[in-house]
Amino acid sequence: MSMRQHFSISSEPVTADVIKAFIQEASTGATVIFEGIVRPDQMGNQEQVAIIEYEGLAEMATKELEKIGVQLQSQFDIQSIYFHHVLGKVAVGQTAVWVGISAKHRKDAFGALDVLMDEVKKTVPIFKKEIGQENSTKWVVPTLQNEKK
Amino acid sequence: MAGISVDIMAFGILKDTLGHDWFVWKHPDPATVLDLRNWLKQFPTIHPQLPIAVVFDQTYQPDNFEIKNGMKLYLMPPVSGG
Repeated sequence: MSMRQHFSISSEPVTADVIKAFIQEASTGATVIFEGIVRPDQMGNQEQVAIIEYEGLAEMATKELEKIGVQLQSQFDIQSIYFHHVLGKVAVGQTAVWVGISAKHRKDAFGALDVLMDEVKKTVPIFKKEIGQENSTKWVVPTLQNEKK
Repeated sequence: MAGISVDIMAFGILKDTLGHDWFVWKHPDPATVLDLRNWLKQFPTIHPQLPIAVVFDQTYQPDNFEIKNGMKLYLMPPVSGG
């Protein structure tokens, strides 16, 4: 059975209703909708993060996401994937990434979500910069610091 | 020996450490991704342990990939989306 998928990257947010309408079908037994939200972490100078600014190469990012979709389809019995990442400034408490996955069974839906987010953090060309409450900035570079997951 | 000239766009922390996002790189022909990586080592502002990916045609390219005149390349630090 073919899996339906939607991968997008833009400056515009989406809503859970849009995602649910895309992923849910008559035979669906489980839907998982995930939102990645900007946290008020401490920056290196003890300033608190106020905003994260995302930039990326959208066309290539979509291509990398499609590769991840192929991988997920081989690993899990899932019916559909909806993925959207915002580029630009996202304030603390706001959502930067949305994922929706549907499957007949919850283990496939949760498992696919976990793998998808892990893979996004390895290959999808999106980069983030923390902007503090006092306007200092710091690029997040996972290999040079211990990023909290 | 004729040289090559390519447009390069840097992302993330590389944009700040190189001082600009777009720049032109010139090198004697032939040139590879490894030559570009070695050229980047001259910048003291780039952390020596920073992995740098070189992208052409929306694909991460290996060290032996041959860079040709007029190509548009992208330099990327480790990704940090999500």
